[in-house]
Amino acid sequence: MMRSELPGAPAPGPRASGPHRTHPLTAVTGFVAFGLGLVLVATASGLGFDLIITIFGGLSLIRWWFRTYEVGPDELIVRDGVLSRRIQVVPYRRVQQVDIRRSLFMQIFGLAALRIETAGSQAGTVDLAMLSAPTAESLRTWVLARRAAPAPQSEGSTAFVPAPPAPEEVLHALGIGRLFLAGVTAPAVALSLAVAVATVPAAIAFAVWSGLNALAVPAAFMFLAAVIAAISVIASVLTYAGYELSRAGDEMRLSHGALERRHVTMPIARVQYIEISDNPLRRAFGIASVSIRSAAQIGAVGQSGRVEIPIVDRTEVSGLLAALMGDQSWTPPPLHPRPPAARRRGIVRRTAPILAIAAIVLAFEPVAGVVVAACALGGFAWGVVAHRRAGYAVTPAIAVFAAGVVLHRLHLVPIERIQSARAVQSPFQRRAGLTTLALDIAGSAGAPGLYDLDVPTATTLRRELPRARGPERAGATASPRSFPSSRTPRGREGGT
Amino acid sequence: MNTPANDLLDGTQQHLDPKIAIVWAAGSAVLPLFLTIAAVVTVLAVDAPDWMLGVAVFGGVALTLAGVVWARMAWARWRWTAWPDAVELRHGVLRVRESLVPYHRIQQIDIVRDPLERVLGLSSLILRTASSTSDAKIPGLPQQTADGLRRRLLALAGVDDAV
Repeated sequence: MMRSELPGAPAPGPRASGPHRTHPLTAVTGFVAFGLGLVLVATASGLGFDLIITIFGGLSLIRWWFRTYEVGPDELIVRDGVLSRRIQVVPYRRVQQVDIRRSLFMQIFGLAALRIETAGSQAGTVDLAMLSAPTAESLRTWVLARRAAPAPQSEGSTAFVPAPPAPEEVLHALGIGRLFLAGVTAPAVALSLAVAVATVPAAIAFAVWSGLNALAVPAAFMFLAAVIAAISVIASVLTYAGYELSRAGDEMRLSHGALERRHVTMPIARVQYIEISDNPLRRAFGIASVSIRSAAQIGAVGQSGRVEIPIVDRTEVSGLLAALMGDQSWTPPPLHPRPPAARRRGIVRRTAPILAIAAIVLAFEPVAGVVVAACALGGFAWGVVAHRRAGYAVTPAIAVFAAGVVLHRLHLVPIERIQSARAVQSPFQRRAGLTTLALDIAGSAGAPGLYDLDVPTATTLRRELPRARGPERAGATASPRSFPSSRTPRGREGGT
Repeated sequence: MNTPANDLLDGTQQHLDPKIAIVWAAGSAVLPLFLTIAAVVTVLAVDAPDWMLGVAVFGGVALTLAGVVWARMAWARWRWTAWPDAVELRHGVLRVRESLVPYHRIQQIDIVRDPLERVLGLSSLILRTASSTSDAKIPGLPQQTADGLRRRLLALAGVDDAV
């Protein structure tokens, strides 16, 4: 599977190789993408198809010709653009994630799209579409190997001996049955079915009012919901078909997809936080889903910046995380409840608006007002459950927050990845002595946190968590900070 | 303000320069001023009764005054503290925001001065981490303080910016 040579090009050896171009078929697909536009232009302008095709085909070819990449010992350099040139330099040490994507078309023609992501914005993402599949594989191997390679000491010592490939251990594989269960219990499916069931009375009422068959309308509703559900289940099964999550050395690797095959590689030291989520249906089956986030997120298309585990038995989550991260400290600890004031606040927050509306309605329509007021009971129950399901815990390695009634989420944040911390307090929270804590993590993947914590706890966490640097883990040794010392004007490496 | 920059990191609570309230009040007065002028012009143009002119002017003045009071309150509630290892902010009139940014996470430090701030000799210091959600902007610093703080923090910044 791993070839160390780029066919038709010098291998990415210790010295820079390139410039290379993407596969010539890229120019053709770029041109075909214009297809519809071409037809429109040709019809509108009255020019012949051959002329239009020559112009756009030529443009597409020129664009392809001017996009080159150079494989350096420490960085990948991509040059792009015909008139305004763009040069993108991606240091391997900053790589957050490497993806290989192969659509059906690419699989037929032996091609692959390689994406290399660094933290933060789109500017740090390199999309090399399309390369020949072996080139993409060897480039990925090279980038990942160089990521952890020691910083070059001088020009002379760039000799790079590729480490022997680490043994790959499959930790989680999913068959069709499990994927089907994951698809059926997905929130979208449950929601569409729930909406269909909930609207049955309304549909019957509509049918009676409009004089249609009293069963036809609800039946049509149910059918529509079933179709939507079936499509979403099939889509989910196809997306995750052949799911295999494994660990090799300090990287996690994920492959999945039937029509479009995706291979994601994420260095374990790059994990920013982990989300374990479930919903009532999944709780009934004793299953959950896990999402592992890196800092590659902004502007990226699709499920970039994350490794998804669509379905896993709740009892196996701890074991899987420990094996995947190579560290027992990722076991979710027992949670502390929030203070009793948070329970009151949670109930008031969910009932006060309903009661306010009820008071207004009551002034005009007493019966409707009472009905609305009765809804506040639901808000009360919701608040009680919300409080019961929320909680937090802090271990020396991770901070854990849980919240959510229907869609329940557990966030595990490695303390050494916290950039800064915030607390926001509304006037209502101030009266109750509560506040909302948020931990800022790299990228824009969100800020995990918890609302309605008591002020002393939140203050301690806000002050202590970002300051703690955490124990250096085995996987974290390749810290991306170490630029070659020649580039740091203040010589941070020297400890000044 | 000729305090040596080193003393800024001793953990004493600091206020912003009171002149920042002028900047904020001016910012919040732009819209009422524009609306008032538009209202006055409209009233004069369509020959509306005089009392409407009074309403327009009174409304504009009231909104501007509210902006001034709000700016003053925002200044009064702003606190920042530079600890030896982290900076801590506390601000907000209705919603109180508190944040802590450790120096070892700082990736970049910006100093921003808009025209009015330049006239008043003020600077805004913006500390940037790898996170897009970090809240670390200290507005209304005397220029010397901002420059000194920036120099001092740059030396401490990013020693462990592991992402």
